[in-house]
Amino acid sequence: MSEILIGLIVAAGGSLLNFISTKTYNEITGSSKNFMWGDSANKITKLKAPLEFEELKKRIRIVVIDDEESFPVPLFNTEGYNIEKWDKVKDYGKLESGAYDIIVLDIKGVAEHISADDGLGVLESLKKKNPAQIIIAYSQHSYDLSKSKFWELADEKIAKPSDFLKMKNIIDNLINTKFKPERYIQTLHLLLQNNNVNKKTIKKIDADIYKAITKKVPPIWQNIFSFASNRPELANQLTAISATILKFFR
Amino acid sequence: MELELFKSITKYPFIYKEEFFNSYELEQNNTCLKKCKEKDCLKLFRKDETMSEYVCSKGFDSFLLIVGEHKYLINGLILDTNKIISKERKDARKDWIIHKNSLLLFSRKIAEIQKNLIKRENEGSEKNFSIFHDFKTSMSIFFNCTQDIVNKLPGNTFEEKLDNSDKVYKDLYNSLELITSQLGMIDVIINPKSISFGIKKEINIYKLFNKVQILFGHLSTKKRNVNIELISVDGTYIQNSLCFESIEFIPLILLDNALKYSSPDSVITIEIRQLYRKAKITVKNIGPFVSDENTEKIFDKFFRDESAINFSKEGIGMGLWIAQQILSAHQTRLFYYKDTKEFRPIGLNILEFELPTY
Repeated sequence: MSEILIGLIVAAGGSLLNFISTKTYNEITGSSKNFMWGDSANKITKLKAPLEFEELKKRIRIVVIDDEESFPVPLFNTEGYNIEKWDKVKDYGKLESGAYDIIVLDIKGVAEHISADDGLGVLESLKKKNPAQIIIAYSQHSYDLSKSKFWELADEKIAKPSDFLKMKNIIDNLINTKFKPERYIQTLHLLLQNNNVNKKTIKKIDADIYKAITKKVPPIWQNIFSFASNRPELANQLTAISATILKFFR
Repeated sequence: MELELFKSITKYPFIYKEEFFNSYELEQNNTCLKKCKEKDCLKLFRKDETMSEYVCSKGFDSFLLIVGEHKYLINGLILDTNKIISKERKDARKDWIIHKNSLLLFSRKIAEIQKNLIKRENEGSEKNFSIFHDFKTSMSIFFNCTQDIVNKLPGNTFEEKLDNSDKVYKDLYNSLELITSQLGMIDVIINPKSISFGIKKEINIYKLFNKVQILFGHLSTKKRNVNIELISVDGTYIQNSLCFESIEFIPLILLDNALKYSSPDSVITIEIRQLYRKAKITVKNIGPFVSDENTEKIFDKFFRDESAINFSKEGIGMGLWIAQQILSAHQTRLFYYKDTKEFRPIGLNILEFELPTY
């Protein structure tokens, strides 16, 4: 009996010691080791998105911003894509917040009311705020030397006019190659590093996102990005990218 | 800035592509033209800075001006600060003595003229091609109507509807792709940068040629009964390549070119070989030979060899230039060969290029 008691005391003592050492180690090194000494922060990069292409296709939100009616939106919707059409940029804030995973953008006649450079101005500004935002240049002006920058900055181009299957192939290829959680995680890390956020905080953010994914707990972004509370623009950028990461695992 | 324009406005003698030119105001320094054997000032052409200076082995001052894509070397001058040239030689060459400030002023003027030229060029192309924009808009309507027609056919998905449709629907739909490509090629003529717009994608060059072969199938037999054969040499699978979308123009251009210049009842053969980490594509046809002196010029913009003009009225000499530009963006190039044993004006012509595969 006394042997069992001693065994229990040793086990409890060992667990307590492990608890204290883990906490101390995490505090000193900024790591996110759990009690099994596994690193939950690193695990985020190893997570595999469980979604099949067909499911992903339905979840991805696409907006086509074009003052003409050449983009076959109804055909895409029939095939299960989630596509909206705007004649011009009607809600820039929505674009900026990462509400759309793919933006198909025309260069002329879509944003004169908010930018002197029209579509190019919107593209530049969105890419600056969220480099991971996927933007497809869709315009008849590919011959125009003065607008080359528009095409160079975009992630992909669709020549106008193009047939439906060609457009579909381009969008599917983008979904398969660029719409991946690791790309958004990488962008998030880069953004944090570029804003001089220390390793310890980055690891904590990774761990919080990992927890939100695995435990299916809705994240409280203002707490996770509390260090950026006095920099709302950065906090918005970080939230937009992180929200996209979560989208893969919902 | 083109040579003719630079020549008409420069005050100073200069060298362009190793050829010596006088200006209207000042001739070439006699030492540079006749006495200097070293021509060491030409080293300056290797520089990439907008304005580089050099004092040559004979003591004269040279300046490299880069104007747009052109390099001009102003040579044989003596700066007022030059201490290498003796007083006697300076006295004998008073006309070549200049103040550095006037040269800098000239350089600034040239840069300003160049800036305005580009601005005008852009404005010009914008105006000239607004009609092209309208044409594209009309084409969009044609595209939408064609897609609506296909969409009304039986089937679950658009692809299924098209696959199950009659040949006439398929031909109609395929013509859309041909139109997009033709318009894309016009874009390349106006704006060569458009070659590398978008991201590189995995393509299979054999499949691309196959697609265009089918597209051209009915056209080729109608045209002088010319047939197209596509062969994968040794029957090996041709691996994929990573290319810009513009690579799709290559089969179109080469087959269109071969069809244009093929003798009646002949066969165009496309051979694709899988080599180590690259595919070799050879397009053979029987047609008029390109004259020996023009085998490289056929890749120049708007160039057509005399034999081509006599054989076919079609064409403006852009196809091979576009193809060469596209291949150059993929770090490869197109070569022309002909049957050297054939002494008649018509025989075997070969256009060949390689494409990295993985």
